[in-house]
Amino acid sequence: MESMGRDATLHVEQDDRSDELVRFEGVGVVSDDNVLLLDATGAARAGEILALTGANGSGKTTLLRVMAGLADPTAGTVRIAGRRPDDRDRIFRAALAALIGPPQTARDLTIVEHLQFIAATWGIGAKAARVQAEELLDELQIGALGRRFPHELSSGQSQLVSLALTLARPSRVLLLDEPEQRLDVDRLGLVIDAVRARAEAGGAVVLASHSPRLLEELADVRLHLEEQR
Amino acid sequence: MSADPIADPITPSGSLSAVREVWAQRSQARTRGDVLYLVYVLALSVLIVGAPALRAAGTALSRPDVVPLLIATGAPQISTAVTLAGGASLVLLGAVRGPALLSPFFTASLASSAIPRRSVLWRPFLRSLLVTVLGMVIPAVLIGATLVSAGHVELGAAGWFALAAVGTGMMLGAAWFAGQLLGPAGRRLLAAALGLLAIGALMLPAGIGIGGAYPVGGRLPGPSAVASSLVGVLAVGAAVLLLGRLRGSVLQEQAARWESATVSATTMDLSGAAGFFRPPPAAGRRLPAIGAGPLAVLYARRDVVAWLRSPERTTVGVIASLLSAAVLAGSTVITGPLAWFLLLLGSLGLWLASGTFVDGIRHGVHTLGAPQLFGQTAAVQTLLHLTAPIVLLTALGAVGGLGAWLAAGSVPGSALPAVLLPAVLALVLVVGRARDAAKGPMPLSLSTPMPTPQGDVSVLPMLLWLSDAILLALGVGALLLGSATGGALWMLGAGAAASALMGLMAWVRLRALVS
Repeated sequence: MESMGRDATLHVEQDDRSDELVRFEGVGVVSDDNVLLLDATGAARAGEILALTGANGSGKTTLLRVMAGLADPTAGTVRIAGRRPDDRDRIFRAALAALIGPPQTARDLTIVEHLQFIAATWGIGAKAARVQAEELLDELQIGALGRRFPHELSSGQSQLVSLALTLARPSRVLLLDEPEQRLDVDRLGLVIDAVRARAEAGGAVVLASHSPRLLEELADVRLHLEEQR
Repeated sequence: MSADPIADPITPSGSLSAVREVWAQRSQARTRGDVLYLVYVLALSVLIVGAPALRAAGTALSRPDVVPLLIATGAPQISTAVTLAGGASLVLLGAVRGPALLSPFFTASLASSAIPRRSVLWRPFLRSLLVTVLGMVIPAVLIGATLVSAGHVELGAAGWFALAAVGTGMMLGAAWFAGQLLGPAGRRLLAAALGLLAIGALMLPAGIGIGGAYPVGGRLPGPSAVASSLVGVLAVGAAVLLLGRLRGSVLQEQAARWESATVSATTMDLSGAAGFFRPPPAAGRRLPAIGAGPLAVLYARRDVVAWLRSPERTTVGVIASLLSAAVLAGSTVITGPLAWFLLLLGSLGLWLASGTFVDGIRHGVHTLGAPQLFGQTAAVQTLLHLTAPIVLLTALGAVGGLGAWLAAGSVPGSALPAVLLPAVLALVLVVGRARDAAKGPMPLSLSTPMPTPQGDVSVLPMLLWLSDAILLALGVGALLLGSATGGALWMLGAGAAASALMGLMAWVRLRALVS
């Protein structure tokens, strides 16, 4: 069961899906008779931020995992940039960046090198990758962490670095699972600005959050998921 | 001294008597009778099984293709050099797992209490000492038994050699402790000094230390054995006195690492257990790991810089690769059971050493199941991460093999197999590492009970699953040595086929992990 904000309903009624980057209809996930997610429907256009809300266990992360192609829905359909989520589909992979749990870091690369390496693997030249990495560090005000290895970060710093790693790769759709985790008030403001900037640049963002401030400042559309019992 | 027993829990002698009393009151505690029974069983096992087994092995090894190598002119010097090299390795091992180590609980409750650390740590230290002493004594007795069976030496000479091995084992235990006690600079210096001494020992006219007591060619067996034992006792005594100097942070870190590794190993996750002994990098952070160029170069450069960031580990890996390659080359120039022993030893050593250079492959596989960060799939990342370790390890294999061939007297016609065997095996092992990285958890079906008249044998498939990487490494080594009789082309063909098979298995495992 889920309820959707008024804005989202309007989008559906207009039935103009030309710039819709995310769409999911009647999505449910059942695992061994356990209902993880039930009948979720929603959409996000280019430049729009869809916020998933709901209590712990309501299926927010499950829905994000389905959208990221990490879990298969047992009901419903999902389209990301017009494609069915499938890890083997290069176009899908290129379209979607996601932060769902901590990313797999390399133990022997510094943070700035992680950012450069990720960009380089997506075909960005070495020089441009370096510039982009510095910009990302500046944007999240973690320039001082650039020369550190992943094991030298605090919990909150790891969260900011995880976000930076996710933003280092190109994408049209950005999925974020509780990006506010372990962040202080100032850092939360930085994350809000960074996410808003991605949406304003034409990306669609779907995020799950418990932070009233983050929801207030970012959510264009809200989808409230009911707790599964 | 305070009169309050709570403020000062130490008994006047600083002993652990109160703690032992409490510990002995546990329901699971061993009684004095249990301990005596254990000692009885152990002593009987050594007398009834161990001693005859060693004697039988000695008789079996007294063959014309083994004995000449044991009585070779340089054998005493080689035994000294091998011992010194072992000491250098133990010094380095002390940094990750020292001999004086308790469980994390006892480290927190006892080693961090006001009780003197020496009182707490001498028991685990002596237990670890048993490993180094037995590690020296068993091969020494085996060599002695072989030479006595062949009629080359008297029993007394073998006895002196065994005694020298006991003393040397104690010295090695002290070296292991030194690695735990010293800081990084002192540890590296000591390891380097022992390594250089090992090389120097090869150039001496006669063996010293344990080499001086070598049954054949040892100049002063009695004095050498007694001196080795005395120095061993003194070294252990000094180590026990210095137990209190061990830092709490080192003890805590090593205890936690050892427990995690033990848990992983007992749950059949050997690669996970090995992972706990990979210290995180701390050096070379300014080295440019990312540069321009095609993807293969991008990945290879990143891997090479990663190696440079763990200089100690990389140095050990390079030395171990060269030595293993030399041992493998040795298996091509001799025959008989020693050749196969060298082959297994070299294959195992090269497999272990290859683990130092394949973190990139592991990382590529580990990106599976997470949202995609990199532009390539896990399979393609793994493929791209193969380049650098293949180039390095095959080169090290060839160099080590060539060095051994030159040292063995450059026997004409034997150069090609001596160089090719370690180089080709290195290639296969690196591809096999991709297969190992994609292993995944043990299938539950393997733990299904398999009742037989001899009992439940389900442990056998579990052990096979656990050690498949090692068994494959040994099997490929044997295949390559066997194919060497057909010539270089046969060996290259066998290597190519084995690499393709490993690659196929890696791909199948990756597919299974994805699905």
